[in-house]
Amino acid sequence: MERPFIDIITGAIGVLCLFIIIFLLSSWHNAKIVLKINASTMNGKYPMFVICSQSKNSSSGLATLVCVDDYLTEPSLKKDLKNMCKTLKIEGLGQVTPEESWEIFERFLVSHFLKDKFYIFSLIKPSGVEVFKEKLDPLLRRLNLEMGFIPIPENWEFSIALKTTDDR
Amino acid sequence: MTDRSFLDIMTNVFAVFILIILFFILIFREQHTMMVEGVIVPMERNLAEDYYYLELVEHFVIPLGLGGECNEKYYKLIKTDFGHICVAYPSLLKKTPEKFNFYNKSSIYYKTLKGLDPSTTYLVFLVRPSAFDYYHEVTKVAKENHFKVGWYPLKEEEPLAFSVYGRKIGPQD
Repeated sequence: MERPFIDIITGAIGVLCLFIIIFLLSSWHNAKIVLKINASTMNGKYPMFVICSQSKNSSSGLATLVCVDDYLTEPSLKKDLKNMCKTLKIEGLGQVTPEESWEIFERFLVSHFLKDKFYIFSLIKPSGVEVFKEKLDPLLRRLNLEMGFIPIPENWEFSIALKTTDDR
Repeated sequence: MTDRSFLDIMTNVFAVFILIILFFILIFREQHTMMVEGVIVPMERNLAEDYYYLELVEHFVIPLGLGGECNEKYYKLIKTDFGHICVAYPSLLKKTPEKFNFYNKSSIYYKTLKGLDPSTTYLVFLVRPSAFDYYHEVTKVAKENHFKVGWYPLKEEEPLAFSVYGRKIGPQD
């Protein structure tokens, strides 16, 4: 009577363990790599991140402002970023063409509001090389703005943080 | 009684085995985080003569040479009105892939790093979309060898054109 009971328990444990192994192995196989990006302040300006990628619905390139503000320490800067994200979203709600979106973005870039506090840090995905080279990079160079850029593999996740030492 | 002990031992051994596997899986998962120091400086710097260019295609690193001169072993040089274009010899990577393979410690990349002086030379990587997955690993080795590095993206089939009107790329270590 005891043996079948033990057999059942052992069997159940075995099956449970197998499930755990299969689950972990599959999640390990699909594990996303996280790129931790430490961006510095530059001449007292803070990085504002823009992701260059390709639209999922069409072949057009996208430059998307990162609206996560965890890396900013000052509440006023968080507010600035929030306002910018809000405004861009409102103005971009299907009422403007991609070309007009770039014009709006340019207006922000040259406004004192942005120019004195932020610089653009581009996170470029392989699918976003074209939009970076043909739109964002020429725009920032034409406006003579400081910038930074870094490659982000397509399926990697990333986290952004601020390196506070302004020693350059 | 003997059967029960045997089953107990089997269960314990199995559990320990599972724990070891779980431990290794967790250890390996940790390695999938990569830290990148994104300290960026203004792009325009007059350091062009100290720049050593390398092309990144998938996990292959091909040295272009100082100031963007086409390394004649690997590239054909085509002069233009404002500069020159470097065209890699066809089947370069097919013939001798191991020579350019980043994961081969005796590849040309490691030899190039040994032959350059990090105090006077900046490395500029021209990166194809297929190499984005490898860029951070490749530059990590350069940084460990005390080099400052910069990069610029290229489209997959874009020619390597160097021009007096071209963009300057600053070190971004």
